Amino acid sequence: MADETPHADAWSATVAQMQQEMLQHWLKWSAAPANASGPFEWWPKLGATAASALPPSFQQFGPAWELYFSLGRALLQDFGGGEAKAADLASRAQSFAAVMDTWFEQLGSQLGQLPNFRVPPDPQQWWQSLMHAPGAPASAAPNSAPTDFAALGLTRERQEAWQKFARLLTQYQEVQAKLARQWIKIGAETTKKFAARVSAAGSGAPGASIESIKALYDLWIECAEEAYGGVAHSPEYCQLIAELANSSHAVRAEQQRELESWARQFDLPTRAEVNALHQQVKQLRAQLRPQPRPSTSPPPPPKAKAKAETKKKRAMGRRPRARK
Amino acid sequence: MLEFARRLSATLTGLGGAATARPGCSRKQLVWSEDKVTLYRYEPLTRPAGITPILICYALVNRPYMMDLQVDRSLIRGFLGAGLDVYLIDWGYPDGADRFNDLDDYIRGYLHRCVQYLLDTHQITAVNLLGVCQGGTFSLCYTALYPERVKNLITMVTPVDFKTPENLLSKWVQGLDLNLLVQGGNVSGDCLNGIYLSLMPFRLTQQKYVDMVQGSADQRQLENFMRMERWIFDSPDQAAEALRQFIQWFYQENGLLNGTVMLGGHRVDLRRIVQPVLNIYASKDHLVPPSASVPLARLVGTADYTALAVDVGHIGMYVSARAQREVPRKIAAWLRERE
Repeated sequence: MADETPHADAWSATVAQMQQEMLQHWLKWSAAPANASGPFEWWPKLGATAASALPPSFQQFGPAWELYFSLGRALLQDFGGGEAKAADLASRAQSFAAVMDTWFEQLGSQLGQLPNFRVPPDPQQWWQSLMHAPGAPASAAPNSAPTDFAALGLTRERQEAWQKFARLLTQYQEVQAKLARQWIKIGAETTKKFAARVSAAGSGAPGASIESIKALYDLWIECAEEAYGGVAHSPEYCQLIAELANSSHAVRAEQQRELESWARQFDLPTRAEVNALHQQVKQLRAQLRPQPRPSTSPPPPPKAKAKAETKKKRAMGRRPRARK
Repeated sequence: MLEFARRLSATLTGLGGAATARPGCSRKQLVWSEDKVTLYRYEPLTRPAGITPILICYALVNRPYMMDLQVDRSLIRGFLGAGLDVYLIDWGYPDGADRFNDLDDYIRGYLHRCVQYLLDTHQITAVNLLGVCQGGTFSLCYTALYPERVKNLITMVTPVDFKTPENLLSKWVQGLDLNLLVQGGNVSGDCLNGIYLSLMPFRLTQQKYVDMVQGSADQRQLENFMRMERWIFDSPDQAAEALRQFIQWFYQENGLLNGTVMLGGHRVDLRRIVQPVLNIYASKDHLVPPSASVPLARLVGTADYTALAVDVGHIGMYVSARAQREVPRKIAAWLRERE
């Protein structure tokens, strides 16, 4: 059942593989060289001692990290009066940006392969795979069930509830994927800005010098916030944020409905019942103690007139000093 | 590497010791309470200045101890030092029993009864009302409905125009389906925290902590940091109905500006605010941008309107050295002139 489309679980499988590899190699990573003399020595030495331990799916991060740390090394050499030249710094920054760009592109294309994000459920295909998939576990069926089958029979309402839940979950995932693409855009834009500014610093542009590693980090954050601000204010992103909230609330509401249904089976109090009681209490309290009526004075005059009246009021309104 | 590790280790050790630093420094007494709402009166620090008592109406979305975080970061201490008689409303932590509390309950209910307590206790007919952030919005509504009960109104980092171009939070909530939102009950403080962090995610989730490690490992500074950290993440859950109304009426409909807010069937008309108004805003505020506060000038009916811009951010209004120097002194002087 899980293989009903050729790349249905490509993304999940990749993530799972990465997690597994990370776990398997974490202990080896922990045995990283203790004799690294600076933060920028750590990565290459780690690479040298644990090259074989690097998970395959993390290989693509290697060049990016190496270039990022080489930027730091170049800066350190600059501070220490080393031989690093400005042009060297700029070229490292550009190489870093290029590698990161490639990585973001790859990430973007992988997101396009997420299950259910592009292809609507095909009942015929689902039915065929259900009937013919060799060795498919029975429990796999409900997870892969399409969301637009007509619900029939004794469990009709349950089927409808699950279909609705599946639809909502799919919508939520779709919005998440769209948002992830926005974040890829933010990442790419950040890298571009960062590389440009590091290059400017390398070329000795006035006011662009980077004085310390911390300044390099602060520059990275500044670029990230700028890139994020540009995207976060866009109508598209704002709409996605609202959609994400709405779809997650819809999923939650459906889950809650399901839980309440179970609670009723066991004669447990449900939130709906508690809500009804709270509303009754609120109504009773309102009857017992009505809210005060506000001032019924006529609408105020224009400001110039108000000034005179305010002065008059203040003159008349002197009251005994507050008791302490 | 070694230096960084040493600094990180020192910071982590220091933070362990600073974790017990408690916020709050001024002595106060509980004088009134109802449900989860509490009214406190602060004990005087100096000779009374003979000014009408001031009632501080804080926001629902954060805890009010930010006004009195520690001895050298306390606006309340500044007020007390100026001889003011200070009261503070603590809205508490709403739970499931409060999910149907609406803005009318908060403004014409709890806030009104707190004002009534001061009127009865001091035998006066009007109080000085200081509204902070969302509490400022509440104070504006209250004053517009009951102008005779407010002698002077002070608003601090208070949004009035909720749809200005810089207001990212406002842009995000325009498309929210609020009926779906409240169907799930109260909105958790964690959810709100996540939203606040996502306004400046890289600064607030990374750089802030790197700066902390990079900075001095002085124990006092770490304690300051921990108090702030505690406050930032100590966000109460929001009563579902009140939050729904707040987002819909203020953020989506911009009701304060358009005059469409109705509380208990009564229209909130800011032109009814004819008493003196002091509007204090932070010029670097990313939560309530100056452009959100400044329009108050043309909306209120008073001719005695003063605006005060302080060159700090939203949080800096409560804790920065500049705000500590300027704000309590100016408020006290402004009130004294109008006593």
